[in-house]
Amino acid sequence: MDFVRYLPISKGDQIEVGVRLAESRAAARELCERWITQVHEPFIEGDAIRADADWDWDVEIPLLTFRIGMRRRPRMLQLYAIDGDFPLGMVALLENERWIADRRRSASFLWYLSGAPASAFEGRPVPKMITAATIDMAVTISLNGAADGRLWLHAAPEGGDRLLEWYKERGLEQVPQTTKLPGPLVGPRRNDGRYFRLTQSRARVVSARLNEYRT
Amino acid sequence: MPTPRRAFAEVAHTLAGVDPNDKAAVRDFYEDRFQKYSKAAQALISDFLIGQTATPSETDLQALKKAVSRPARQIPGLFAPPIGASGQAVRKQASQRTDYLNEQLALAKAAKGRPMRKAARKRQIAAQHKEFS
Repeated sequence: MDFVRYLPISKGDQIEVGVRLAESRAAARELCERWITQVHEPFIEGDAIRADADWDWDVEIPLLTFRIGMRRRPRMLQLYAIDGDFPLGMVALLENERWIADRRRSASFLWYLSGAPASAFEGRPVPKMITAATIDMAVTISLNGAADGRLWLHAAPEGGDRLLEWYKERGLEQVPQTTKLPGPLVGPRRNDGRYFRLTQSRARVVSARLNEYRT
Repeated sequence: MPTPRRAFAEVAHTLAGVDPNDKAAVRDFYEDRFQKYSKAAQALISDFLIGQTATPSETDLQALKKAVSRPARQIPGLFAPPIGASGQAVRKQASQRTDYLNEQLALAKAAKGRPMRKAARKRQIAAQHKEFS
């Protein structure tokens, strides 16, 4: 898959990055462990401002991701800097969820997304666009699968209006609060107005924004 | 995107009486007891949690508890769009499955000279369902 391969750092330089893809809990265990020890525990866990400070990458996220059934195609991905093999971002998603506009169609649902903070790069150049590249992993997965670019996600309430604006700037479209969402089998999925989606055409536009970092 | 930790805790509390304020106990529930549920029940709980963006209501939690307590075979399969297939293709597959089962039933009748017993047919359908799903 055509993931991002470089990220900009200061003075016009770039660093080389890679993507690890886990399609089972066993494979995800290694990614999560690396994320927890190198990024989450030392730089995120103690930062109460961050929405992801108390996320459990050890048990709850990987376990629940991969117990939903393989038809939903659960995936975990890790973006990492090749120099020093340092994790930059994590994603948990369902590649084959139902699409908001038409439940018979496939769409990727981005469940968890976390990026390494600048504080994790003490004494080293801080890569720019880490979060954009982390979302791009999900968009790339969606573009290369049955979802054909369709993707949706929920913006964490802790992120407030700033996060909503951030997603809009990335090219995602806010789903109207009146839209009925494909719910779980038990109970409804409540639309609090913080859902975003990428249609097929928009996914291509969003993906193209990072094309200069793919080759 | 993220399911709040409180939702994980409330599910553990509703299903197993775990203290929702005890982070370690909640974690233990998912690491240990959760994995002893049938695969269908685990998928149902995962599906429920992935759909939560706030603390779930008591009504929803009780509905989950009721659904999870059913025997595994009575827990309905979760929705997922067919991968690379249209609705028409799925209907065609279902139709082929029915044709196949009818054919097998007719063969069984002919071989034994009597209709297949209801329980045997149920087993056969379950086996076929497993194969096709």
